[in-house]
Amino acid sequence: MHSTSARFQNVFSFFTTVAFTVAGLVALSSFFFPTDTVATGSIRNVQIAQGRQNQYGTLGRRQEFAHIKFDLHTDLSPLFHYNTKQVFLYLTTTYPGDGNKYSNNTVTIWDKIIPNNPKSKTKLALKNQRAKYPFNDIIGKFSDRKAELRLEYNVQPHVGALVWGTVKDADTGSEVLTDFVLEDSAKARKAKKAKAEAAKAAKNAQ
Amino acid sequence: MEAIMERVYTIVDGFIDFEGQKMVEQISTYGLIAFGFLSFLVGFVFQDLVYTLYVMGAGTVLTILVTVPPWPVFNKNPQRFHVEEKEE
Amino acid sequence: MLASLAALRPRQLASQILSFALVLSTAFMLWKGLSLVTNSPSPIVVVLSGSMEPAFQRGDLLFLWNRSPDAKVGEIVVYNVEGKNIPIVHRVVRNHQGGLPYTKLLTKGDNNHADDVELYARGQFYLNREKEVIGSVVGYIPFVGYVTIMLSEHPWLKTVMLGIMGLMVVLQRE
Repeated sequence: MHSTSARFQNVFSFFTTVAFTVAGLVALSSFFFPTDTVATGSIRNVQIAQGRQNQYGTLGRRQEFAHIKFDLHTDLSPLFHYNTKQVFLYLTTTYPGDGNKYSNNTVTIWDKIIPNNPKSKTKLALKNQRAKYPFNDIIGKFSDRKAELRLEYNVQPHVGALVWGTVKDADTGSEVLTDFVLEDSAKARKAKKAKAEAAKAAKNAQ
Repeated sequence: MEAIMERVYTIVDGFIDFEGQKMVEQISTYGLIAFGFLSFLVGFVFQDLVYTLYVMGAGTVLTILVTVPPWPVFNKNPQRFHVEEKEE
Repeated sequence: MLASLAALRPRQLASQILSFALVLSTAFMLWKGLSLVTNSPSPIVVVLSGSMEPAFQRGDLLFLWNRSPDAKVGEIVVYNVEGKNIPIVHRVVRNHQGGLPYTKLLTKGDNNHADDVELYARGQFYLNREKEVIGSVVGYIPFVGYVTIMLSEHPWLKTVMLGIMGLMVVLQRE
């Protein structure tokens, strides 16, 4: 501490130690904020259609795409504290395999970034919202599998650990907001056609 | 030329006596710890990290201004060296 | 000025080299130890691109953990496409697992409109969790890594820093 440079180096290095300690305190304090969030979500409409997309290992092969419209109501304000930089919100559908090698599949159909500033809306009320991302399966067919819808979030801090969580359903308290069926579009079309023919035949018989 | 270099050396050196060094060490250590703790509290209470950054930044600049330059107050007790006695 | 440099005795010089080597080897040991604990070849990475903004900015420091065999949708993974040596930090948007030996992942940067299929190798449409992912992000410190980015993109900064350090050594009368 006898010369100017020695004093400066000393003070500056102690400053970095203190700064890292304060950052550590801020990061630790983030764990003390409760993160209970609830949501209500439902699927308005699921339409399976044949489509073609030169991605996902298909090389232009025709495959089934699910066009989903949903409703979503949630309040995410408990997740926003002084160490929250942003909340990344995303809707996932999870569905089982079809006797093939992929026994568990999860696909993100919609996401949203909510930054932590006074302007952003932490309460969401989405009605008849279209899914953001094209939804097709890795094997190209849905085959009447049952899918579960979950609302999940990732809290990005200013400093410290990233936190992931699932928003619970407001009524049931479960992590799954709703389930729906990803129907086999070819089978559904045949069934519809058969029903129309049966109705026509019944009408003719009268 | 020598005189100018001498002045440059004195300024860059910034020597202070031992009492001054002790004072500087205490001021810088306690000061930085105090500002660190204060910055965390202010940020936490007002739920805004910007306050933490400003308090810590201002506090560090203040501490550096007080302790790094060789102020005369740190040179009040110069080291007395034993004077060599000349043989008569 | 230069006389002070020449006056360094061999033992002093050796002692300084030894303490320098000690610092270097301690840093190396800490790095490799952290690699072992996290099971990742590179447990701390610096964000290089803006494809994950506003979450991650260039220069942020990320802490990785690689001991979980799955990578759930929503996690942020760091991966190296086989053959290329550029680590990419993106979020998992699709996950297919089951009887296969490895889990298939599809990733996408938050700030990108399309997913990462263009970044993968030709003919590759999914990532291999075991072979290509080197870790999942669990912690984050902002800005700290920006120095490394500045030094690599503006190499003249290194010369300036060495110059300043040299000047300080020479001007001191110790």
